Parts: sequence; structure tokens; C-alpha cells
Amino acid sequence: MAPLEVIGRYLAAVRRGDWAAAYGFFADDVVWHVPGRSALAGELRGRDAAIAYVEAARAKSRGAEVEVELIDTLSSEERVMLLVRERFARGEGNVEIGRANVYTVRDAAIVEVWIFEADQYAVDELMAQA
Amino acid sequence: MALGRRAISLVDRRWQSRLHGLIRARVVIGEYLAAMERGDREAAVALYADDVVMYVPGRSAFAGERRGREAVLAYLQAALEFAERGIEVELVDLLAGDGERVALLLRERLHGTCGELVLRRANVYTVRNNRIAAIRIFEHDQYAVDACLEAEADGTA
Repeated sequence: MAPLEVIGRYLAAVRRGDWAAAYGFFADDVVWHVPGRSALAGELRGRDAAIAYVEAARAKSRGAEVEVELIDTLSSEERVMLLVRERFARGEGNVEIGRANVYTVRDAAIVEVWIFEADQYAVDELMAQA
Repeated sequence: MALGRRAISLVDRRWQSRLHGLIRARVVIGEYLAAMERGDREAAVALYADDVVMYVPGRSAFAGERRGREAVLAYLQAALEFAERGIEVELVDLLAGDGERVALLLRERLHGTCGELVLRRANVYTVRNNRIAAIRIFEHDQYAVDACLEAEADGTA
């Protein structure tokens, strides 16, 4: 299965809220590289650590108004980049975050994820408030 | 039958145009990379649209929105001067879509000035009319980048 197809299926599972199916795309030894200085940042190794990160991120945004817009999807032979814009509704107005998530796919599984930020300071401030 | 042929021809043309756009975006960024690699700054800058916009993240003196070829060139010159003092840039991957964007995944190794640092970055280029219309930089190590640039600007590195 091509990387683009794997990430397409992963995204479809996320969109329909089927997190078990989404997590099924993580390789046992998947590594997530989460930037910044928040409590969630760091190098997360293994499926359990990756799931714990995604669950923590979901918990932080739960109850908040978050709008995620997929701007573009770019790919190579083994990687897929999702360019996204996230809007967080805050009392003082909306906060907009631009992000590039890069997934490395091998043998139909996500083996590595790198997150690149357009505004790391804003992300960390949001994480501290959440 | 004639209608069928016309429909197919329209679909073909749409695909050809899409494919052409995709190929052009890759070709333009390929030419840009080649020019940068051989140090031909003039050829690289010629690939920018007159009204190119560059978004540099962070809080260093380099950060902000730069509009126009001259402003982007000034950034590029400052970055290259900085690079001459000891940065190795490795192209990890080139990613493209079926539209106007191409991304370069980069790993940069800094020696000396800020100690030994390995930085990861994603540069996303938007290509229109065979020219680079926008450049967006996404950082993985923003704090390290800013600390390094600040030290460099202060001359404390």
C-alpha cells in the first residue's frame, strides 16, 4: 500500500472517530517527534507512547472549540506531509496555528512522525493554558 | 460519439494541466535547488516572483513576513553569511502534491557558533506561473534556532 493510501485511510479513521482503527496504523516501534517545551513535547517511542500522546492531545482540546483545516497533502516515495491549519476559539479571540506533520510509512504502517510548527511559541502558550 | 470524444478530451486537458502544474512545481524547485547548490544566487533569485512572500517563524531578528524579491534576497544573504560560518544542510526528502506546493525536508548541522546542533526544518514552496510565489518555513526546533540566531546577532556565540 502506497504511503498516500495509508495516510488517507488513517485520516478517514480519525475523521469518523474510529481511534482503534487509526492507532492500528502505528507500527509497534513508531517514533513521534513532538516539538516545543510543553509537557507533551519530546521523542515518543513505541505504539503505546504514541497513543498516550494522541490521547493527551485530544484530552487537552476536548471541550475547546478547535477547527482543523487540511490545507494540502504532499508526498514522496515513503513520506506524506499534511499541511494543516488549526483554529482555537479563545476568550480573547481565535488563535490560528499552522503545522506540517510528516509521516514516514513502511510496510503499510506509520513508523515515524515529525511535527513542524509555524509558531511554536503560540502552540506552547496554548498547551500551557489547556 | 462526438460528445464522448469531446468529454474525454476535456478530461484529458484538465489532467494534462494538473500534471503540467505538478511537474512545473517540481521542476522549478529542482532548478532552484540546483542553483543554490552551485552557489548561483542570481539564478536562484530569478525563480522568485516579484511579489514573493516569505514567512520566517520564531522571535529572532530574522523572523517575520518578508514581501518582495529584494526582502527575500536580503534574508537569503543573511542566512548564507550565517551558513558560511559552519552549517551543513542536508536534503532529507522532497515532497509534492497534485497542486502548486513542494516541500523540502531539511536537516541542518551547525558547528561552532552555537555549539553542535542538529536542526530539522520543513520549507514549503508555492509555485505559480513557473515562479516561487510563497515560502513558508516550519521549524521543529524553534527555541534552539532562536537562541542560536540571538547569540549570533549579539556576537556572544
